[in-house]
Amino acid sequence: MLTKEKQGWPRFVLVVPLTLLLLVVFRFIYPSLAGSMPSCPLLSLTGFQCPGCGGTRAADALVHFRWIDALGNHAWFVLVVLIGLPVIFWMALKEKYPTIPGPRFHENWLWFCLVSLLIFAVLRSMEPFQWLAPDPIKSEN
Amino acid sequence: MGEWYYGKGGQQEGPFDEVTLRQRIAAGQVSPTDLVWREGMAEWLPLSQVAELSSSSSVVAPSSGAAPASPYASPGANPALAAASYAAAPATSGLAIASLVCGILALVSSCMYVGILFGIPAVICGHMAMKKIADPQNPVGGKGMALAGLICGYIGSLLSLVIIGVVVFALNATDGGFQKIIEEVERQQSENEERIEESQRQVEDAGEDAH
Repeated sequence: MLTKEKQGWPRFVLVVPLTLLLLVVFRFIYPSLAGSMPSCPLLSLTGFQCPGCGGTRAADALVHFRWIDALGNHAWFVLVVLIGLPVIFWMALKEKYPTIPGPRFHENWLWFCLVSLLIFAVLRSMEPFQWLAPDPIKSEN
Repeated sequence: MGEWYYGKGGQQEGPFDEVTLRQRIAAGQVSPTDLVWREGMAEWLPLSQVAELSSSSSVVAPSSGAAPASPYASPGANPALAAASYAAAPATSGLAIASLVCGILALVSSCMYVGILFGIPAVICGHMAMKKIADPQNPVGGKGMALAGLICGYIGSLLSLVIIGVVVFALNATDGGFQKIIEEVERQQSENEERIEESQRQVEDAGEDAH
């Protein structure tokens, strides 16, 4: 009997193992690069923090479970990983087993991610929200 | 027959046996466009497309005393209503979604030297999605999403290309000229900060004198 349970995982579930894999790879590769990486030329020369500024340091802190450090360097990235990944996994689970409770996957979540990232990038370049920005002195990336 | 479920307002209700579900349909708690499913069905379907339920609703509704003018009691209108709502919102192109995902990743990782790895797929998927969406024979939506993916992809690629270019240039420069520029900029920044601290200290001193 064909049931909903027989349906496979939705493709977007791949985001979860891929992200975890990248983080694990990053944990083992990054320390060998850390000393040799030049500081971000964009930041040094123009003072402009791109939306990902601090992302590498946040990822490094995250894979070593230094939560406060990670949040301080790139809160958006850390929150997306810590909250977004379980939510994405749950949504995929719901696509596979529709009877479990929870939100359905909807593309508006993507718009939310993009808009919140842009707002985050703008906010932390402004004076009252400097605490969102990474420490500019040790800016490697 | 199996238990029935239906979704309403983003919430899933159930399980119900068929009698209960029919009562709820008759009471108007389940509308024709709500998705219903029971074990044995391959997909969640709008109520109006489930023959065994929509036929019964026309039988049950009048006997339950519902007003004849109620939209739930007129089975003829249901398929049209469902069809209209589906025509208005075609499925979003998967390529457009992929493009925006890669575009966001490209923006975030543009300064981690890997932005280009996400930027290029974002641009490719974005263009493919735009092409598919423009095809009148293929009703898919997501033009805004594809456009956003394209823009993010291009910006992310450009940023990471500029950064990679500058870094490669700097590493190749034998006289370390680039590093000197950066050191000069950082030295000026720290001097500025010292000056600011100095002036703040003076202000504080002045304040203490006044007391």
